[in-house]
Amino acid sequence: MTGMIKEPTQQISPKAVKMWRISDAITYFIALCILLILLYLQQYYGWKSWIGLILYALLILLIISSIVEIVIVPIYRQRTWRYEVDEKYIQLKYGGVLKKTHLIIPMTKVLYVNTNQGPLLRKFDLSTIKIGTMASVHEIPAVPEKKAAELREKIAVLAGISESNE
Amino acid sequence: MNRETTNDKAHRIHPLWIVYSIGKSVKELVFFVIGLMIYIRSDSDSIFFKLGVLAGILYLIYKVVSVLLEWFHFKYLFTETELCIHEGRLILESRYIPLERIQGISRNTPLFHRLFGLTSLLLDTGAVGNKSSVKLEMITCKEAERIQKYFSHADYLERDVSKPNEGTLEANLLEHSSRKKHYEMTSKEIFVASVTSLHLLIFISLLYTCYSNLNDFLSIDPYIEAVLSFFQKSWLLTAVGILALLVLSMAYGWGRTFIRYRNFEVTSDQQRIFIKKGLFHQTEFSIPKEKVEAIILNTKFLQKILGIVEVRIVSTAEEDDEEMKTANILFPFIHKNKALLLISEILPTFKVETDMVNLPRSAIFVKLVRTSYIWIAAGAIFYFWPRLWYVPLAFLVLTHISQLLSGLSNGYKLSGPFIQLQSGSFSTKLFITTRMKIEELKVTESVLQRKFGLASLEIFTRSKSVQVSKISDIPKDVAISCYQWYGKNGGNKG
Repeated sequence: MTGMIKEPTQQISPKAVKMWRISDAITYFIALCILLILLYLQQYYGWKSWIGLILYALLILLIISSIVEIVIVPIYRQRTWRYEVDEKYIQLKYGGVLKKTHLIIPMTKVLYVNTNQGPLLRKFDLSTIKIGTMASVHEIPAVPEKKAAELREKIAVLAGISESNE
Repeated sequence: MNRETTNDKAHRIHPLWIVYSIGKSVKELVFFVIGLMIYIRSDSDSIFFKLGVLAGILYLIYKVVSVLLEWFHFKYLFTETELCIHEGRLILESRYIPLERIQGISRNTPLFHRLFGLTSLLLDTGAVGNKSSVKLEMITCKEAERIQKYFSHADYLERDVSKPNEGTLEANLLEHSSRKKHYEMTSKEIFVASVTSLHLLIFISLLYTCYSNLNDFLSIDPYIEAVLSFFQKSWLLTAVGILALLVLSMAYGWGRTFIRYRNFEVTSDQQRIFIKKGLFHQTEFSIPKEKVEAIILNTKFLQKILGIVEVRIVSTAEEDDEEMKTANILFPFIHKNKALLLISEILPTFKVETDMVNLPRSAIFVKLVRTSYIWIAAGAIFYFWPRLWYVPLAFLVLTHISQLLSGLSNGYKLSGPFIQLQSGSFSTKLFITTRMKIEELKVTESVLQRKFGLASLEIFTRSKSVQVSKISDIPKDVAISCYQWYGKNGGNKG
């Protein structure tokens, strides 16, 4: 890496890979079911044949993208996600090959911070940290639960805000 | 002052407001009734008609009662530190707004208000949400002036509280309240602006709405056809017709600009900028200088040739309000050199550099490559609809020219605490802000950009809705130095 912005050092949990795989698998399974039902209906009621063609095309696309999304993307995303929280700034970095993004937010501009946990995240003892600014809400995905809570406190103290918990 | 006692001393707005508001709802109702009449033209005995009339009457009664209650309960009072508002119809509520929270003050005088020597004030609190501003509708001009003075004075006290210098206080106050006039729009500028901003399309759409509205009541089609066929008789007549249309649209544009920007005037004192405008409907907007988050210089394509720019102030002041929409325009059309001079005069904390760094050659190439997918769409159209060959061709030419223009005209400049980004193609936008005002900063790099050592930079600043300024395809090391520039030692203060 030449002439780069200094990479933030903190990584997100390696367990994220498995978690993302499961959640993606569930999403794709649902999408697959819907497509199959539509296909069945098409056959049964004899809808126009081009509808069937489109459905088959979608099915193929779905299978290809599910393989990519479930097998490759989670590893890639976990490896490329970095964050760093110091006294003055929060720095986030994500993406790599296709599009790399560096983001920097001064502590003073942070409006609120909270941690979130869905059922799947809870199963893996992970949390998502949400950082709200004037501009938008930024997420640091899949941070170990305990660390997330610490980080939340830390940001809240540094940004001079009382924490808001969800 | 005890909050409970404020209710007795508070002011009401002028009783004429009742008449004005009821008048407004009657106007709405008239349109509704006309619509109803057209809908059931033939039988006035029908059940719909009766229901409609009943609904109209009920609505009017509701409006009158609610306006009366609203007027009766709306009271305001300025104390030393707060603005107290009591309002409501059936459910009463009181709001207490700290004075230092109030940023933009705009004074709005529609024609009706002016006839009675009244005006309305809009005080913006810079908060997010629908209750972010307070509207004092229909107060006397004297009262409005008193309030405006009050704020200037409050600014002054807030600033100089640290150095109470008794002897020169009066002199300071005098100097402070003396406003300096920076800019007054001339008739020539209005003329040039109305000629260069394309009013033709607006004019044609206006003509069309007139036509379709008239057509509902009268049959004017034969006349229109007669006029059209007259102009189609020969090439010369057609040319004359088109010329007439152009002249008319320019005249229309001139009239519109004249009514809107006549008496346009920018003044400032030490703390605030004041923008005044309007021929019939007068508005005066003022904002503290320190609340200016950024400046934007917009240039339209035709105006670029003449070197005319539009200067905007980015602030958190209200933009949703229809009357306020143009309030943040510092100069609607002004020669660039003059604008630069005046900006440094009015806002000494902002510095506009004229020598920008252009994008590297490779950026132009990347910009052209990026639009290559359009070739696929164009190819498809060529193949399937060969008769429409000119559509994709025009589209291709336009996109490539615009990409070329943006590659050639875009630029950046980083100097001291200032950052300057120029973006756009046919019309361009120059964005200037300081490091302190930036909310967050984002650097992205796509595959294509990496190949050529380029990156994109996005800057977020505060405004009512977030202002995002993006420049694509700047050299990567520049993007990195912007990142480091922002990350180094800024962000100490809010």
